[in-house]
Amino acid sequence: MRAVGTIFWKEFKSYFVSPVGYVVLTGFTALSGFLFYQLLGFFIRITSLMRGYMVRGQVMREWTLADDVMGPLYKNLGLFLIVMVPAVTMRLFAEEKKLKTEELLLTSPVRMSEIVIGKYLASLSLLFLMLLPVGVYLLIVFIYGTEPDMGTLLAGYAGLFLVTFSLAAIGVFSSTLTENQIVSFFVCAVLGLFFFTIGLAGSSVQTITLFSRKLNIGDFLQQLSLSGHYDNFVSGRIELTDIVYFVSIILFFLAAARISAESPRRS
Amino acid sequence: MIEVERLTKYYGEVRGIEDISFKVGKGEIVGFLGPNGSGKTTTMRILTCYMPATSGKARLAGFDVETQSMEVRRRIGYLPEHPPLYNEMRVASYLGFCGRLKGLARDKVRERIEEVVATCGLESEKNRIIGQLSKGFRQRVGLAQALIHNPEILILDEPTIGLDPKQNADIRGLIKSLAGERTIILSTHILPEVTLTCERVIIIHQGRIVADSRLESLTREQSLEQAFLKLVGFEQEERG
Repeated sequence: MRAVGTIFWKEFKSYFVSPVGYVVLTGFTALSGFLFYQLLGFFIRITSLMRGYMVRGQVMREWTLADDVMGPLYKNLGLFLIVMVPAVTMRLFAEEKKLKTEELLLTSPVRMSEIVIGKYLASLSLLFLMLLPVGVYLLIVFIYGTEPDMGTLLAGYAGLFLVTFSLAAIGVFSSTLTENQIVSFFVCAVLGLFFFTIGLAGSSVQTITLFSRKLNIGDFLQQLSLSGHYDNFVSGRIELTDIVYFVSIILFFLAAARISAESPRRS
Repeated sequence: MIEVERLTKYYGEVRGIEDISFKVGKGEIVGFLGPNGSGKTTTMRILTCYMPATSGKARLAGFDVETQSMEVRRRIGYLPEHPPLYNEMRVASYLGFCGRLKGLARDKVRERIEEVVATCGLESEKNRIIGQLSKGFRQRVGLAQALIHNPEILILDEPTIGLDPKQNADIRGLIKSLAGERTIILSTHILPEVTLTCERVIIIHQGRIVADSRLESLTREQSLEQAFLKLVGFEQEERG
């Protein structure tokens, strides 16, 4: 555990020695703030015109802060993460390979799992700081909104953290694959997009036949999708399966990172 | 202190080293000599537990590199060919990081930083950023990193490569001053360096040991250069 702390502090500090930490923090705050401002402005304009979603003069669904401001905000921020998270994680192992400092880590009396966890936690801490301003928007809605459904809003916020932490685990894994940070960035971004969009394929591919057996792959793909589980959180349903899904993604990719980072030992 | 038995390493089909055996006693300085690509780095990487051998055994300080690798790693200081430096860190905090990584307690680390900084002549550079240091100083920081946990065994891969003659002499003096209580293996392809620092040489060529003897006996009738070329060059012609 000593090594986890050592690695963690070194990595966390190095975010603020290079511009990465500052760019990510200000960039995300500015973009998410702009998005929140836009959504809120639209909400105020539309609520002054009509009470809800109207069909032939009848209100089908009333406008709510949860469904029409924070929901879309969370979903769009999920997409921002596909750029932000790899920017934070791409360095972690790729740079060690490039600068050959990996030789120091591999010949120190430290387990590879400790190194992976230390680095993962360092990236999580920066991403945690990055997501804090979103709490300010929640606070604004809470203070000025009329009867906002805080349970739903907080569930969405929790979902945002879980998506971020899952993408970070994917990012740590991507970083162990190459010594080139740009490659590491794109591998993580593409894997992130894959997990976000794979659910869409679910509805078009219903069943496939494999060895004369019918498999319901559509359902499987939908369960594999990050966005599906995230949407549950955003709409305020926290279910055990969703939590298990995120924890499994994190553990799977961290385990893969540990194996991949030890590759010099298998050359 | 170091016992190597029939160590062999293949990278896929390519031979790294084959059937290397030698022993190094406590307090010896051994020069590992060989042309580029002869297997010096491969051997050192196996000894430092960076990668496993294909077959054969190696024991350092009584511990096996494969089965007791954590114990071995605690007892060795390793300076790779490219010193493993983080350019954005300051010298003192880098050494602190290495010390903690090697398992030193927090208060012990501070003490050791002062000691290795003094040993390696880095007093004036202690608070500078590593990326701004000259090559000679970078090499010293690399050496300080290897010494931080006061290891019994030092493994130095080409410690003087790319340095100017003055820096070269400095590092050599430094290595010599470290001998005595420590067992040192250093690799090089610069011959005079061996004569100046080592007591014993192991000459390795195309992955095999071609000579292992005390320096005096190797250089009794001929210069080290002649001996080296004979062992390395002629064989190459035969095979060539």
